[in-house]
Amino acid sequence: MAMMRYAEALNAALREEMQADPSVFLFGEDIGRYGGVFKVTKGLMEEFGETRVRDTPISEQALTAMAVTAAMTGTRPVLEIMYADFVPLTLDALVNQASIYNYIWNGQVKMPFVLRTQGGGGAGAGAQHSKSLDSMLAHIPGIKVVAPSTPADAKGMLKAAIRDDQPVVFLEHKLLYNTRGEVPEGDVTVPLGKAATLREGSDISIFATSKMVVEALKAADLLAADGVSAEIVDLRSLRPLDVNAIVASIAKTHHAVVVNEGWRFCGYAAELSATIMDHAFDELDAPVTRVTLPDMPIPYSEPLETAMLPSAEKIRTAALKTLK
Amino acid sequence: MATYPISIDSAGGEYMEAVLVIGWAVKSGDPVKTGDLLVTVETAKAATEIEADRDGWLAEIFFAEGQEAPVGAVLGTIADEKPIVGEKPIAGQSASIAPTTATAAEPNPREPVAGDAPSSIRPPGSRAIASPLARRLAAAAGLDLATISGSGPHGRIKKRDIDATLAALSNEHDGAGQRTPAAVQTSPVAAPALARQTAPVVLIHGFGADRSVWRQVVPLLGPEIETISLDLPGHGAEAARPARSIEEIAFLLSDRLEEMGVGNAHLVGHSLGGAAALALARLGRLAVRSVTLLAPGGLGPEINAGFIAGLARATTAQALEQWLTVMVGDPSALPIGYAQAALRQMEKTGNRDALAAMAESLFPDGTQGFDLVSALGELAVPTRLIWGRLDRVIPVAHAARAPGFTAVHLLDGIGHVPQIEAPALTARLITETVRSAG
Repeated sequence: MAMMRYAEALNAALREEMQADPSVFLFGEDIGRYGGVFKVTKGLMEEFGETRVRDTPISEQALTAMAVTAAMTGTRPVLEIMYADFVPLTLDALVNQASIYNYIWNGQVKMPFVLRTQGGGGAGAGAQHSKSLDSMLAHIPGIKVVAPSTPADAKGMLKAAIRDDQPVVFLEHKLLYNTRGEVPEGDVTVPLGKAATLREGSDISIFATSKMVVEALKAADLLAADGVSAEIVDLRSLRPLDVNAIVASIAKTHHAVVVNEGWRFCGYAAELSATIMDHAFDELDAPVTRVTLPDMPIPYSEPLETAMLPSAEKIRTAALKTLK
Repeated sequence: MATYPISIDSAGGEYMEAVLVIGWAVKSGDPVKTGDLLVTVETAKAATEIEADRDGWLAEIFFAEGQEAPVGAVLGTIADEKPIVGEKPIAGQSASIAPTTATAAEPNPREPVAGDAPSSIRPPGSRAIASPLARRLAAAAGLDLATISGSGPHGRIKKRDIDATLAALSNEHDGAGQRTPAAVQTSPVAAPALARQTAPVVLIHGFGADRSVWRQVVPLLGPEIETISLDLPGHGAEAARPARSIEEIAFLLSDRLEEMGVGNAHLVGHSLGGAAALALARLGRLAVRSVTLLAPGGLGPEINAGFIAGLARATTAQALEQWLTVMVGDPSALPIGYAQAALRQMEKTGNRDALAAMAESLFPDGTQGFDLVSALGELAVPTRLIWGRLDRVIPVAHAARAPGFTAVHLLDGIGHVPQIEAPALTARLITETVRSAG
């Protein structure tokens, strides 16, 4: 085990996969000489050269189409889209190409690329640089969407994503890059499609994604002081979703709060609520409660942004309300 | 006399929990017209006036001035006829809803205390509001929800209310605290035997069949083996109670075993029953000793959609026989009269509808709507997988998804139902699995 920051864990995963497989290459805006705006690709151009680590012009639409064709023709590209807010520019390549080519060509093509991006609020980055568009991406069949919350998962899941033959959207969070944690050394992958129970509890299950897992863990401490034992399940793989883990937890606690930093209407939390009702209705002792961003643009003003974002305190309130 | 609730559904934001009743503008028994002011309540932000939504008479007031009411609570009712003043709306309810008075008589310990009263009120004639879990527990214990006070929001009955009711009943019935459920639903297969000493073999049949599918295998099992053949929800004796998901099937089977006092068991499942066995093991309520799966569902998305639909739809013995033939490697393996017997079972009221409903929710768009590969992988007991190489219902290729610890038996010349096509071999393999568990 080594203590690492989340961004360093991602950097290690990229370096190891590039060392192990010459078909892995990186491209994106400012990822080479500058090392990425969040320093995830720092030092990689120096180590692997300008052919395997490429700085590109600003055109997310062209970049994603490039990832699709590069993947189809035998390489394993890793594309960085600087902000998740720019994901809408990539959607044609994702919705009309990457997600369906394997299907319409009867399995004759593989699509092994990773689209890394980062989203989320809390950094005062304003309405165009703070969004979480998980729901928009997880809506597309044929694409995997993952969002690790710990440095260990960041490394293990990025390695697994690069080796996956399906397109994988890899969601990072700008406020997670500096978080630290133990990361196993060497070639350790974390399978996509599995949730992680980070804290066991008996009274209520809190299912969270990405940075909301950090908030949920804080909420569990607050709830413990309230005399409530909360189980925290990290839904690090948004799609495929680990329904088994969700059902098993609810069968134990009979109460559920779902937390996602995206918008509420048609959001990922709504999908989770419906999934719970599909699979564990008769285990529920109360309606599922959602904690999400309200359906509004994210303000630049810090007090307003703080008021809007889901937080440990809001999760606690929702849990207590659910347990009434 | 019909009555209609007066309620405040939402007051000042989603985290607001209670409102304060400031004052009633009308008295019980007064006539009211649509739009008349009935009551003023205070929320975190402001006073809110609640107006009558219909013409009638103010019948009951559940929250007096100065009392707090939870958001969504029924504050009172409007009647469509003039109520007789002093009439108690419903015995038992009126006592719990009357405003607290200092001169209250000796409180009845079975009544909710005044402070808790608001949330346990149901307007007369409305259906009992209960959580899905509470509903399921009440049904299993034979409790009538109408007799239970709910302590949750909106008077919702929760698990804790069922637990409290059962505890109260148990104290009432005998001092020893042992509870006799009023009307436990028992399977006609096995008499409930509380606290079994040995682990029985629980046999779970597949879609469209019933527990009789095991009758050739059971006599051939080892002499020490005790068996319980269950009917799946929506099938056989359980036809009236279909299930919509594999998890629900697992819950219902688990409840049944619990009622029978079965705490540990060897599981044997065929097809959908195999998927049910895995889901049951995953629930973790039962100590599973070993698992034998015959052409189980849940190990891959493919399933013969035509077979499932045809089975659920067939209305003649000839049509049904066509589909039953698909099940077996050698059609002569089907016992004479099997199709007629199966059809008679389906002809019983509701059985066909139950089957069709289950087919639709379990196998949406002709795929298996559940994945139990990981549940199989998590088993820590002897596990055996038996599959006919000629299976035309679920591809035998799914057997390749079994984890390395599973013993896999691929049977030549056998189709989807080894227990009918090769009963002796099937019995031998079940017996060996059970014995290997010790």
